[in-house]
Amino acid sequence: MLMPKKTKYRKTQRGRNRGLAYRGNSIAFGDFGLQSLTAGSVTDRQIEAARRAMTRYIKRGGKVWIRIFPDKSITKLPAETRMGKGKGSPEFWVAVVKPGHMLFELGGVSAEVAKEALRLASHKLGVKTKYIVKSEF
Amino acid sequence: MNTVTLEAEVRKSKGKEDSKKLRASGLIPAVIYGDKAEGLSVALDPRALRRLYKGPQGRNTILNLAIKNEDKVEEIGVISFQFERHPISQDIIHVDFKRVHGDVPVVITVGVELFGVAPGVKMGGMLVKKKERIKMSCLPNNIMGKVRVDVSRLGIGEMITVADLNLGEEIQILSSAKDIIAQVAALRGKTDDAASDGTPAKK
Repeated sequence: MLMPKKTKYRKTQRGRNRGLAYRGNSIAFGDFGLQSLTAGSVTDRQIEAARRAMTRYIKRGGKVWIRIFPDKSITKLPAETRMGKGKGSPEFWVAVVKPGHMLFELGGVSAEVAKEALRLASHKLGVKTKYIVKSEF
Repeated sequence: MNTVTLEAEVRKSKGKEDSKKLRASGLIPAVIYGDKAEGLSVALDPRALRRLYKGPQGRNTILNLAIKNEDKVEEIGVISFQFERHPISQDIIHVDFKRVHGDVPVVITVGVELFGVAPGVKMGGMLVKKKERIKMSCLPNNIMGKVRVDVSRLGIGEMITVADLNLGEEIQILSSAKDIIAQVAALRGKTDDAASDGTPAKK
């Protein structure tokens, strides 16, 4: 699973997720992409599940680029614990995603294969997505 | 120089709010730079611009802007050098133009198109395009639509770099000569494949 090698602080505050992705919103490496349409968090498990779905479908051909990285830790309180007594311990990692963010890219495969692979990947994610083909200009 | 004329009008009101109103009315803001003059703010129709840029020369198309300023109309030859697009709809929301003169070289980036079948691909390798655009300087008359690169001699592990390109004496390539344009990469081994599929590795 993707996660940072080391972080300055173990726990982060929740924060807000507003606005559009004005960076990382275009296809930079491959020929096809999966773009987010809603704001949300994509967990490390979701990224891994989507990657597996894609690599299984495209088999040995093609290349997958993951354009997001889960760099925010999410904490949870243990089950059956009374409220208070401090913040819980980090349980998993998420990538904070805004509308427009390019989540995955695919290259070296046909358009039909890419569309189906990205459709399978989109079902693993917690955000609405759109299939994108690289434009000429 | 093959040019197309587009209509534009001088924009008096500037700033975020006025630009939003302009976009709501169906036009987009643009700025014309160059000739050591102050930037000229204009408004133009994005649909006409989009149609034009879908042509053979793409975003490097040179166009004549017929700029209406009160009663006068002035024609300026321009080339775009920066776009701002909406993150989701990909609509053009702002353009920066540079003035163009026939005898002064322009700096442009041109898309790369690969053609031919690499022998390395037949042997099981994968053709990877590493560079999408190449920066170059040339006279407006010599602007090319695409840089076509032949990959029909690439075996597994071989590559084509910018230094291998021969675009003629009129065109000066500004991208680094060491940059790789295309490469035939060997596919990963079986063990790596199994791991990437999610099958747990045997201990």
